[in-house]
Amino acid sequence: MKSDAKIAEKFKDFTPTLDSRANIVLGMGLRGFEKLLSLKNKGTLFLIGIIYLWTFAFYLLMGEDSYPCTEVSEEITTCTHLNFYGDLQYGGTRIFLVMLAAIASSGLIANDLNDKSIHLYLSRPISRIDYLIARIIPIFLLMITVTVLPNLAIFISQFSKSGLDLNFLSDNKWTLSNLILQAIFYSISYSIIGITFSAAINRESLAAVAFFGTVYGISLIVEIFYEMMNGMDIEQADYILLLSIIHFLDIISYNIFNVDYFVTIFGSPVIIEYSFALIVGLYALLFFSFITLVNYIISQMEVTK
Amino acid sequence: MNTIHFEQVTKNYGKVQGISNVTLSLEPGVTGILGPNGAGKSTTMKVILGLTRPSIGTVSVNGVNPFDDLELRKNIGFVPEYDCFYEHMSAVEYVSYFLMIHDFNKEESIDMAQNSLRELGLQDSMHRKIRTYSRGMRQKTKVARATAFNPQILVLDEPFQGADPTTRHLLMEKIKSWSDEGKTILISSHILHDVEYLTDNIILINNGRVLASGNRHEIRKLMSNIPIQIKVSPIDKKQLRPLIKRMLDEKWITAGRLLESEGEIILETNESEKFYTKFPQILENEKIIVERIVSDDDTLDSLYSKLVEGKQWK
Amino acid sequence: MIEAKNVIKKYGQVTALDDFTVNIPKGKIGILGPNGAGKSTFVKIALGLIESTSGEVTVLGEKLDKNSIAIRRKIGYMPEHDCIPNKMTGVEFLIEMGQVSGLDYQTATQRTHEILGHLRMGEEKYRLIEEYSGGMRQKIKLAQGLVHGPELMFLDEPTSGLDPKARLEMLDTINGLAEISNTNVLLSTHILQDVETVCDYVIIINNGKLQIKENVKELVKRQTDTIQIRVGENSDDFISILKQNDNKRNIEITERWIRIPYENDESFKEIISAAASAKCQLYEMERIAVTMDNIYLEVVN
Repeated sequence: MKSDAKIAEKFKDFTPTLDSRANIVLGMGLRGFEKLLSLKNKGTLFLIGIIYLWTFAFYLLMGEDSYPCTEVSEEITTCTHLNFYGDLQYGGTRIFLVMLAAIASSGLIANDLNDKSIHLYLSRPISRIDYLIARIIPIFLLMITVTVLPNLAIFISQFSKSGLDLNFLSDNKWTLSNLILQAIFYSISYSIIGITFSAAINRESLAAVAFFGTVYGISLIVEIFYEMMNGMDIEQADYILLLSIIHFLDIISYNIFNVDYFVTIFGSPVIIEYSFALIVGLYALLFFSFITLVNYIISQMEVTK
Repeated sequence: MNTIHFEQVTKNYGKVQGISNVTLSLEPGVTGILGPNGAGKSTTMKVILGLTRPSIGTVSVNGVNPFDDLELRKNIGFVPEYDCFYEHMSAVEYVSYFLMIHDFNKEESIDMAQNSLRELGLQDSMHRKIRTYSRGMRQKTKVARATAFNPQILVLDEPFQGADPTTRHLLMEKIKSWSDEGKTILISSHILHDVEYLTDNIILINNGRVLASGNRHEIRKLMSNIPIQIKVSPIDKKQLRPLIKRMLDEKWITAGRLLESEGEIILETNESEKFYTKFPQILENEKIIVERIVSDDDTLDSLYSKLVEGKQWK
Repeated sequence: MIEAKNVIKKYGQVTALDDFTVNIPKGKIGILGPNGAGKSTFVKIALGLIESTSGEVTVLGEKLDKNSIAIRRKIGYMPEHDCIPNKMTGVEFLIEMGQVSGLDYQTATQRTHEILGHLRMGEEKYRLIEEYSGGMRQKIKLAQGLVHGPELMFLDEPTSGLDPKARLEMLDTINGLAEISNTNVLLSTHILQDVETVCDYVIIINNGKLQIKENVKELVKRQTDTIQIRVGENSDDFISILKQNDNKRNIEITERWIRIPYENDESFKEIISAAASAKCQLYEMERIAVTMDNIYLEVVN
């Protein structure tokens, strides 16, 4: 009987094929997203549930037929999709969205900074920007699930209320693309803000509180100042609203639907106009500086080890 | 003077055992205390410093109980393992601050602090904030704080931790010179070679019990159940075979191994004293010259692994 | 393995590497130098983490330029400080690290268990890292660098803070790396003894320049001209007999040892016959070898 003797040399001969950078980053992002949805994150799951329930109750069951935009007065027009991102008292889910973004994003970079495992990630075959993208993907996907999906649901319900009229689709094709664009816009904005807070304040819970507090706090202060300046008839008062992230995002969002932006101060809506170039430029500048800040924080870690 | 005695000292923290039934005495000179993490090294040090009172047993440092006699602390310097700095202070401020606690006036304190730091090679950086210091500089500052008031007893917990080789060397030379001045020094280190370089006197401790204490060569002799291996290498390699043959004739040599490539012989014996006395005489008679007689058996590495890790004989 | 040619690295006014040139062979290499000598700067450049101001660096046959990220596929890095997450199990963390290096889930899992087995980690690998001892944390830190099968492993102070047993185990593992998986090792440490036990070659960096690059075995084979001996009782007789032969001899006596200058092999003969006639125990006799400490201090100071 002939027998061959063999010794396994697996450990010795380990020459694996390694994935491309893009796939590594995507994989990291998707695993991060999965983690956000894990049963351990009760707060996150609870908020997602609330947003869906809210959508179901106020937009699908009680939703009006006048879709997509209503004229409140001769000048002021409002849309279902703008209301969705608005304040609670007008049927908006903003407070939940911000809360969700704050809670879900807070740990993404903070935890890596806190336990210093970021050094290990950065010693892998990915660049700093790759790492950032991989960390933004989870929160971005999470925000997409609570922005694009509910809005699509609203759209479909309106479509069915129209008696599945094919003309509804062709009449509203811009609405459809705009609502997707708007959802992506809010998602990416909140994701970048979340990542920035997570990197700047490297304690998970603190970062979440800071995110929520800053966004809502600034909005409150800005509104008070706006009211005071308005009372004093200062012409530049409108510009102060650009300082508040909530207001600023809404301004762009209204622009996406090509509707005049208005603020409701003590019950009476006031239309405000800004030059398109100004707000787009400002947006680009703001978020570019956020990303630069995060990049800087991480690069500092690397130099000081 | 400068002696420390433990008489059946036990210290436990609630259910956690610190040290158990420890009896030992430290004389002037360097003594190394070795053992795994959590073995009881720090508890032993705390008892000496009077930071904690033994649960059972008596401790005396220079004849008094360190827990009750606060005056004694003026004579004990302590380097803790962990950093305990005021990061915003400079080394001079930090060291002189502690000197003032020891009742020195301000000028004296600053003077002494500067001298001490200078001796440790920190003259260029002693006015910078501690925040900017490297690991080695921090260790030196800690040592300066512990020694600036010239205490006669020093307790050093991992003083070389993280220090670069130059700092390590400098600290070792300092410790040696303090030992020569007659100070009593207890030092712990995970790097056995450092301790071996400094001293032959050791305390091996594990699970709160003292496994062995004293001169490492003497400790090895007491472990008489384990035969000792001695390496010898003749200058003339042709004599390897005659030598091993001759040695195996002696009945107190239990085994012999010839390592031709190394040019050496390993001899095993249970009667080491006899071996060490007879071997030169045999060599003299046989007209064989050896260039090396060594045993790895009483190195700290070997003692540590046999006693602490319980590895008997390979 | 690593070639650096005229590398200069400046941080603002500070020059970390100053016209640094070295050719590091394959094997286990120890890298020594005081704090701030340029050690870690050099290593970070070789890892592609930072760029040099000028000069050329080749790692594992690949020239590092602006796009030096790809080289990290072949490199494993074990940083000095504690940098592993507490809220994951050892296995989870290593699989994640494997995937971030580009392994697929199956391979990463298999490889993780292989490495942990090799490092003698048992069931504790399924426990949260926060429950691990210092030695186990160090093993996880090492394993994360090995998970993707690098050709070159860089270890920064791998034994710092470990107790003697854990330290010995870590050194054993590092020694085994080169033999079992053909991994080259670059070891940066302050414990010179580690370099002696593990490394084939040693390089010493000081003031941003290469000071020496030598074969460790050759280095420590060098002997000094001093014989150290240790004798038992009758040591006074022993010394006086030695002095009878030549009373100008410079004999250094301490409680721990006696040191006698080495002139030629006759010196050994004299010692042996002195011990034989004094009937004292001759516990130890050997020419003191040059240690890493001697070499380091000579080069750096």
